[in-house]
Amino acid sequence: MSFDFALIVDSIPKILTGIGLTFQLLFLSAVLGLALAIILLLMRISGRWYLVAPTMVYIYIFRGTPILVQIFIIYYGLPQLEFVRDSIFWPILREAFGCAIVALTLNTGAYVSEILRGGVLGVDRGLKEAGAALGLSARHRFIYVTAPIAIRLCLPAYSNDVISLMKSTALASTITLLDMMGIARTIVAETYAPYEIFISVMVVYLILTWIIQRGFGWMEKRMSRHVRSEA
Amino acid sequence: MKKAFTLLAAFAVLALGVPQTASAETLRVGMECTYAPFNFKNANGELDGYDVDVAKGVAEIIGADLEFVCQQWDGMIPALLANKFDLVVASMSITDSRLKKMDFSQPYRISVGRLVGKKNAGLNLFDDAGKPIAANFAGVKVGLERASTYASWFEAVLPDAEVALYDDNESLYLDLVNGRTDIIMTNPMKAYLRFLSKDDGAGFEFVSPQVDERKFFGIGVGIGLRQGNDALKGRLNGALKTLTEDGSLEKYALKYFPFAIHNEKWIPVQ
Amino acid sequence: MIPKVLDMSDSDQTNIIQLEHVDKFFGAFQALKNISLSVKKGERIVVCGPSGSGKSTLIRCINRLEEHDNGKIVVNGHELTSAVKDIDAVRSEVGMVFQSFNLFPHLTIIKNLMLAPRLVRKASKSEAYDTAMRYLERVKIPEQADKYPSQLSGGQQQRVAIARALCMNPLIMLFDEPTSALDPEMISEVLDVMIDLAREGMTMIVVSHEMGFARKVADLVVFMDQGEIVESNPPEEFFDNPRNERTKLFLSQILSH
Ligand SMILES: Nc1ncnc2c1ncn2[C@@H]1O[C@H](COP(=O)(O)OP(=O)(O)OP(=O)(O)O)[C@@H](O)[C@H]1O
Ligand SMILES: [Mg+2]
Repeated sequence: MSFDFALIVDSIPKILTGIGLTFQLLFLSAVLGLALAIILLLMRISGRWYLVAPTMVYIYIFRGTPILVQIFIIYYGLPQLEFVRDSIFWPILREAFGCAIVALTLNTGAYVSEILRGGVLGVDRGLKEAGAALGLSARHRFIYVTAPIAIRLCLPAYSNDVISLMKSTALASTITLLDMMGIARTIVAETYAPYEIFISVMVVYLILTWIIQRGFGWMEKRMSRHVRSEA
Repeated sequence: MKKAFTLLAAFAVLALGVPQTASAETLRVGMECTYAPFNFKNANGELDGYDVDVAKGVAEIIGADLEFVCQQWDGMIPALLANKFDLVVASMSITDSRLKKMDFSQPYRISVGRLVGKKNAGLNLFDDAGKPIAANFAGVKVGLERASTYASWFEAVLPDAEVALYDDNESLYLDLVNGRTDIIMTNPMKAYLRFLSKDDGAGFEFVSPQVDERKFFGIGVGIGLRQGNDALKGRLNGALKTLTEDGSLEKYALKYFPFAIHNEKWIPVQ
Repeated sequence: MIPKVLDMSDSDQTNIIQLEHVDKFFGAFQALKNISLSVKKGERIVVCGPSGSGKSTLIRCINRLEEHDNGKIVVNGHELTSAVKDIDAVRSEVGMVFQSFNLFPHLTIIKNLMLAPRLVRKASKSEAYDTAMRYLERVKIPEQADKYPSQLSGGQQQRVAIARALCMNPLIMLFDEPTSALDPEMISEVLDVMIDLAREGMTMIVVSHEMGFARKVADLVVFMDQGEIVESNPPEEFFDNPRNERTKLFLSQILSH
């Protein structure tokens, strides 16, 4: 097979025109997903069965099925229902971008809430009791003691999830969006040169992964500057 | 198989009426026999379809007997070149790369694109001369297949249109029905067979004339033959001209589609 | 010697802590059996007993880190029941020091001390800071204010934990084996702080096997075994003239090393 390096050089700038959309997908669904994850977490640890049960079902479904299927159901499936098209959500679900954000948010929210739960469960029980013994309310205990410590514990797992979310944004290209992957696929369909184009897009994604890893690494370092020997 | 061919030959003879010359030449015609509604076996096991009708029409005019040969698509051109048959009447598009190996008659079916949208939407996208009115495409969401000829046409002719690219034809219809797109551009025959004639497509119609731009969509479908057969090619073209002008091609098309699929004026293109 | 609170039996002397026939179960296992105990304001109780005897459970019931199953617990006039509206308010009057310090690792020492006064007492920042520095001076480590807990020795951390509890101005202090996680050379610096506190008249319940400390400050030494209070007496009586066989056995074991 002959390998066309000129094509790689040519296609990378074209692929990069989609990076803005990739970032939008990543950033919006990461932020919304985190908010959703926090809500799910609070429901999950509330100890009330009518909050816990639906949360567990939700998490089970979204972690147990391929995200591509979720995207297709949201994009192609939901609009088949008349009431969805008549609902206030239609302006969002009508747009492929909206569907991608909804799907990515729902998916990452399920994963991140489990990561956060792991962090919360990892916080030493003695610290929560110390907060209680000082008279801090349950809410204050959570905000000032449990959460900040849990966040430090979660950060490595969370950074992995952000990277996987970044990779998942490529699936938005299956529902007409021209993110980096969408542009790459269009170029492939025009040039019939899958190797060159997909390798180019791979390189760009690898660089993004590296940047995200470094960013989180820096954050972890900063946050644990003074916590040397935490048991 | 052999029996079927004999039957078909007999049928062809019957259809053509009493042969004018007892020792008429016999033209062997290659086709897939599985490509409805162009060439396929109907419920009675007989070959049927637009291609078949064209072949029969041409044969009648040039006074030849027909013998149909069913051939898989990927072996079609090699079989023609190996003299397994004399003509290809199999919905084969005329392309430059094919013209290097073989010859074609004038097209008996054209390649066009056509827009489909909601019935009575009053979009008014084309003028009376059949040219698109760019301004009226503003705010109209267009669904197209990724890297298709229709996508190239839009990029060149209506670069400002708001386009969404799909990976397959079915998704085009789905999102048109879902209301994510207002119009789609595709092959009108496909659109009719797979969508407009079905329940899903009930509320939709063609919202443009046929857009016939050879630069994008190609010349169309012709009868293939081996190179160096100019006399035969001349006779085929003569017959196709007659079939165009006497309305036969239209009649053949209307058996399957509510519209004609050939160039309605006989304008030789090559 | 620290003046001990006299056992005044006049009925108008109110008990700041009162336990009556308290039972506590963990599943089928009974950790506290029919515990009754009264503590008057300013009294110092030392609780001892073998491991697993229920000492921690007992003091954890007093600030409701554990919920008792039967009987009655009254702390500073509030009966602890599941109906008690503001358990946090009761807890804020009861300081607690844990065996494992339990300082908040993500906060500096000064912030560990300021957190609860700010949030619970709604103290202003400068008020909370001043209080925190005052108590850090009392436990003799004001210079560590801006460090993180992990940068301090065990003894220093436990002193911070005591200061943190004191910042809330509690009526009662509970200590659960405050020195047993410490290296021997650090034990006395923590005990000194506790002795100071006793001298100032703080009501204290201390789970400890530091018998010297008990002799010095306790009004009453309570010996527990298998969830029961086996014997409780003033220290002289308790150490010099133990009555119960189990007490004798226990004392012989801990005094032998
Ligand atoms: N959360 C719990 N769940 C189940 N059992 C418990 C729990 N907490 C304590 N126990 C049990 O209750 C009994 C009393 O425990 P507690 O911690 O009060 O003992 P202790 O006297 O403080 O012992 P130590 O000297 O080891 O601290 C022990 O047998 C212990 O295993
Ligand atoms: Mg204990």
